[in-house]
Amino acid sequence: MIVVGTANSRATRTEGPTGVAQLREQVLHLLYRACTALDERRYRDWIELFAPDGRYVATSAENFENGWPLAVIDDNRSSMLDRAEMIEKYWTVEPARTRRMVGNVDIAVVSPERLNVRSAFVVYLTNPEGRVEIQATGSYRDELVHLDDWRFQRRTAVHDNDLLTHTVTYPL
Amino acid sequence: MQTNPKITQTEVDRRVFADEEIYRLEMRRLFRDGWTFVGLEAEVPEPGDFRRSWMGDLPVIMTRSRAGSVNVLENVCSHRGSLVALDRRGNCSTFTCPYHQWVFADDGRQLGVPMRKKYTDARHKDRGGLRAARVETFAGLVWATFADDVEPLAEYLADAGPHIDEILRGGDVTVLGYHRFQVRANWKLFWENTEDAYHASLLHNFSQALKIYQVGENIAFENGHGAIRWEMVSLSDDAMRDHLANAKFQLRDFTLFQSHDRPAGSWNRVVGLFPNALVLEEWDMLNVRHIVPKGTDCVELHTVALGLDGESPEKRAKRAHDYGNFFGPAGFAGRDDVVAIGAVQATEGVSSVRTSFMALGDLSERSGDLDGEYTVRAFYDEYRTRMGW
Repeated sequence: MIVVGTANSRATRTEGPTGVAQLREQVLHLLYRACTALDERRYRDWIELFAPDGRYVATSAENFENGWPLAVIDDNRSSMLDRAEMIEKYWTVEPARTRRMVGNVDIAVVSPERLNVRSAFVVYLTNPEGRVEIQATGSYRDELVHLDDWRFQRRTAVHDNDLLTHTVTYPL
Repeated sequence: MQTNPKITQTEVDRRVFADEEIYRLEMRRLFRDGWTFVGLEAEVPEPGDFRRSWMGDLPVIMTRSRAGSVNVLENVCSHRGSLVALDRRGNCSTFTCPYHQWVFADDGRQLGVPMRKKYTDARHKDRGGLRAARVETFAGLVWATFADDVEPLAEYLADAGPHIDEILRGGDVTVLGYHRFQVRANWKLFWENTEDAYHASLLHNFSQALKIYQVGENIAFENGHGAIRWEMVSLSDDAMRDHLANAKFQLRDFTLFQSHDRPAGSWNRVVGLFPNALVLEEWDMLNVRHIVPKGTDCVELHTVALGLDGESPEKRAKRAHDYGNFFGPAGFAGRDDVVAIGAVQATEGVSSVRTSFMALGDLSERSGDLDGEYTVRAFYDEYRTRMGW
């Protein structure tokens, strides 16, 4: 995998095979960085992948499909930072490992600075006894904006498993 | 079961959290022979609406009939015992079993059996419909039982009734979504956790840092119901910033602890209804939790977040946001509760700690300080009586 579109890169031309391939690399890079930051518990690094006025929502397929506003997480920058403080100082965080996989990436260009990206995810969780379970599986529906680099303007993680079987400490 | 588990005023034999035989007895005595919470009228507002639910471990269908009444039917076909409704919710005029297409009305009556004339013995031609439970509603809450001899629901809910009627505005509420999560713990641990204010400032140690809990009351009602309540402090944005300036936790998104519509002096309260429902109102967070047992060591919590009829979409969005971020499975408080009761269940049946201990507060009273264990004691007192011990 050749990674392009790191910090300070500009919105890429999307015309022609080269432009399309470059754009795809940039988007994948953002999606992968989001997964890895959370799997490595670098939650504050994950926050920086959002636009300053960005929003993150994790919600069940049941609520999403019925148009119900209730979510599992509904954070703006302020509540993301509050959550960081909860994780670092107040919550009992179990010593479980997670592994996020993302694929089936579909990119729609809205404008040179705006993309809509849809992808599929699985979050594997390995509990302290060493058993591997699936914490969640679903789809990311992302609105990306190009600032210094591509950033999440809005990320909605829709989990197919309406019934959650593990606590959710970090975002999906 | 060798001997009946011993439950005193302050101690509960921990076998009640782990023993299979006790669990099966609970399902019968508490969830069939007594009133059991099944759902909300607001979930089936239109004729033909249905949703699946449970009476303890028994799958049921809650339906709104064409006549407008709410019915609760065993979701079990009278033929081979298949689930009849497989979808979580929907709208239909009849229920058809997927297996052999037996058809039932929304009050459970049997309407049709394919190839009926091929039954050669006349006695086999009418096998009956879906068993219907006795149903009553209170403040929009739907309860069911298979017993004819239990008191009317309003009488059963006793002094908890006015509290839930106030919280749910007589039932004029609307669904804002669901949280469903499974915890590896006995179902009773979830009820007691929600009514246990002792842990609120300790497990949820952020609340001390935020100074959001005030002096309040812990009240046991008749029939195992109870409530914890404290005066809601809701401040203007500026006052909240001043308040938080002295707090250890510099909370940035403090809308959760504000309600600009409820009058000063309103209660934040959590009402526990025996055996399986919890009704909460804290600031703008309004919801009903349905406890669904899934074995001795597994429980599902199905929470419906609510708004009021006629509210603006903005107000509903705030209610949903606040509830999700505070009480949900990733919420400030909700997340730690799940960790805590799972940690209790992890030692059931294997340790030298054979009883659960609940002696905080004045043992000669039925109510007292918020962090007294009055409601939890009342729950287990009713439990012991209903289990026939």
